[in-house]
Amino acid sequence: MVATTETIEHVKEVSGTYKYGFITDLESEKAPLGLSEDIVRFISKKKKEPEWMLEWRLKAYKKWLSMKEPDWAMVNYPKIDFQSIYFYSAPKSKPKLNSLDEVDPELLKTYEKLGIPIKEQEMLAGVAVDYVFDSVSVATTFRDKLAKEGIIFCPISDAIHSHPDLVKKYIGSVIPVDDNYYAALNSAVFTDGSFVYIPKGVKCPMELSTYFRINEQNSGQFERTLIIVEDDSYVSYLEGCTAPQRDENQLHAAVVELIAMDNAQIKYSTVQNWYPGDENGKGGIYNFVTKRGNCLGNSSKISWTQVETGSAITWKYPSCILRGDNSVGEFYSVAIANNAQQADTGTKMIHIGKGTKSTIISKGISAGKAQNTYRGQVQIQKSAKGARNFTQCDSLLIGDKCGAHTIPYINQHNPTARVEHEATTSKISEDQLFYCLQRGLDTEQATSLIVNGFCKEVMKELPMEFAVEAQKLIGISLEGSVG
Amino acid sequence: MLLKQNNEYIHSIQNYVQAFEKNSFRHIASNDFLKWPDPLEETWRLSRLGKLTRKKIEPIYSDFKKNIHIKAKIKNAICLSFVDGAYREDLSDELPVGISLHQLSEKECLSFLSKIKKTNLANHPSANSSLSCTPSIIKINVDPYFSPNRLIEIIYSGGMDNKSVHPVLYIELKKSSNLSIVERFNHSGTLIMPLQLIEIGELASLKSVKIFDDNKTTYNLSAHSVILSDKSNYNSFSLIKGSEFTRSETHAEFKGEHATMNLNGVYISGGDQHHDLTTAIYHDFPNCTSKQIVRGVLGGKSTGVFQGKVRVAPGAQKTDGQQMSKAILISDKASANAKPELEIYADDVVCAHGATVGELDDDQLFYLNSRGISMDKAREILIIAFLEDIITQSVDGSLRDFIFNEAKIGLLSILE
Repeated sequence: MVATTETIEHVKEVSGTYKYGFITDLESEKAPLGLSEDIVRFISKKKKEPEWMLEWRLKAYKKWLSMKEPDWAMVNYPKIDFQSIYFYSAPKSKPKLNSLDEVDPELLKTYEKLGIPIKEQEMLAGVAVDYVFDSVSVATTFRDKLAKEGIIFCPISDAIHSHPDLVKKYIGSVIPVDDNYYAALNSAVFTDGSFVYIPKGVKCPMELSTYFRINEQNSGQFERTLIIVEDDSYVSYLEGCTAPQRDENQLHAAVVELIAMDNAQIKYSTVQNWYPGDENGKGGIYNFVTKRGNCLGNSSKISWTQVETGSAITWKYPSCILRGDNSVGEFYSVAIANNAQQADTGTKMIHIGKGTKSTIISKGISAGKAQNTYRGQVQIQKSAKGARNFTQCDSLLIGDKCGAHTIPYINQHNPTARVEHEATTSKISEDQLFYCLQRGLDTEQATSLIVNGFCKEVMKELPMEFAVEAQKLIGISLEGSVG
Repeated sequence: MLLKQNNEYIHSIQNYVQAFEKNSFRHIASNDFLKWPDPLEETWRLSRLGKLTRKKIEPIYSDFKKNIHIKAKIKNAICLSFVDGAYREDLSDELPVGISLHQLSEKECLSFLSKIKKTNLANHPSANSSLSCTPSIIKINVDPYFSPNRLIEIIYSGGMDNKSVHPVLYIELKKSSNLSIVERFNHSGTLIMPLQLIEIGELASLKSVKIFDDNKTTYNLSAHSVILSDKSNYNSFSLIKGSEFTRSETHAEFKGEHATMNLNGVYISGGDQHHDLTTAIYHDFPNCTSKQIVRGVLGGKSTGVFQGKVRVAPGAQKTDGQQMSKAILISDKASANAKPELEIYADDVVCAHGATVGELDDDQLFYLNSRGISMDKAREILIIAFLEDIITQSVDGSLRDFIFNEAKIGLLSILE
């Protein structure tokens, strides 16, 4: 129950005072509360990072200081006190793990409670799982098999040491450090995340997956994910999130960067069911995420699929920059907001290359007192000759106290391009409900069935294992919203 | 530099109101006109006023009795004329019994001001500057159950370089009355900032057509607020074609049940023109219907903006809100922006919007071309068809040909 002397030294060095305690049975190392240049240095030092990385972080921190918290999203929350958050927390460092058996049994128990038996996962259809528990990866599986193909799949903190040239070249190339408030924050204090590199002409033999967890009270989790796919290669990446119940709001500001070269394809799927807070919105996670893919190469393709059921507040716009000619961007999203949840999510499709195409399918479901906003931008640059976009966003309202909002932005600067947008808002029809009830389903089952049908277009884009989990999740998320 | 001249215009207005009492409506209004909208402000991002605010402009406060006369264009219409923002009785026709027109007294002006402040125009630059320096606020009142058999044509003309004008109009339709008006903006000065409040009583119906056809160098920043009572109807159509920069902003509020509204518009832009049609429809009461169709044709280096918001308040069940916007780009330097927005807080509603931007359909062009029609002519035919459809839906019989003709003139000027 005592932190290592090394940590104490670090903390003392930085703050002079030692003011952290432990709550869970897991021993952890934390930086002192709050954010300052010293904390940034502390994190970088803790990770034994090279000088260039520290400089990059400090640059981001300075930018962050000069930026203002964005307030245009349709979400309301008390102002975040960045000085009352732990910006670094890691499970107590253990010697290198050789197998899963060496993982802290406490940790394994937490996973089991969340319904993700690691052993089963390991075998399940060749999924390699890079577990992230409070910012630091503690177990990585299937790495060897991937290594044979020349694929790099490792924590980004390792990649900084083992592949500095790649990280240096691509980190921040899609989302510059000063892109937005939360991206700058993440750039300054990110602790860990995944790094994926698929070399030329390789089709990744399995679906790569990372499960993110937040467990430490008051510890903001700042992941950084970087995926680079070279010419003619393919990868499908799964990201799933769960978090145990917490009373205080937890901040999460991740950055995900995808880079696709000529003919490369990236499929990025997310199922997100973080703790949304209780019925009154107390507790729950603040999720302010910047995700962006750059279709750098010709005929490249990036596809985002997300099922969002969690978070007290979601602020998330997975986007595609369609730079390469004939590149394709896709965004499929289901966002469910129940109780006091607030979600402002959508996408941006920036068409730059000739003949670029994008599809946006967004399904928003609001229940309880939740507010669910779709906010999307389709921009056709002058150069995007013959570009094409189709957007469809549908909203479903359950109950008369929730809100569903649609705010699309269309900016078109090339006459040969074609942009189409359509949106509808409605409630579950009495007829559908009656039909189900009449056949013996109860209201909750019927609602779950109808909502699943409403989301079908998006669900079918999810990889198999996720689709099953996601379908269950939709039912669970809407519990208590009807009747 | 930018800031300095920016303030000059605002300072001149604030100096002007010094002559009035502290609690006069002008004074109060000017207190809220301290700066131009921030270019980063959400509703002004797509229509930036930078160029205008760098100009050295002064308002025209009073009526110079300038001797100009733009003739009424519509047969058998009752013509009302505004020159330099001031109502000119000498240039206007007599109104039939049942419709009255008068200048608001100071007391009425104050209540008018408080009405405007309750609408979403409260911070609109035209609302505050026009209330500060309008020559007078004119009210048109239609008596209960009265339906004139002639339509009213309102003409806004006059204006000078580096001057702004500020017509303020208040139209009230009493219970079960009907009115049909056509407003023509033919301003030739630098800036016109018309402000309008329309109250439509129970069971009353207003048909309104606006033609924005100002001088090539004019900025037109129109602000309209419409309030609908139980079972009332508002049928509006705007045609934007002239000016260097036009932004027509309309906020329509349902303040009663079973009311209906059509808020349609067309913009035809060419050269360096910037046309912006911004609307917001507030469904505050249940059982109301709003429909909106907007079409745009953009040539030259022009920019078109359509921002349409539909807000359904909690409890406004059985709302039906439909919105459709289409824009056609006919030049590779033109650009179109659309931001249809739905904000819904009630569940038993049917709301939808659609937006498309693109060029003319190749297949249709080919079809006409293969039948011996030149490409240019084919293009013209298709664009006219694109507009004819909405004009036919939006405007009644005798007026339809007139509007269609106006649209055609606009179209031919950008097709050249």
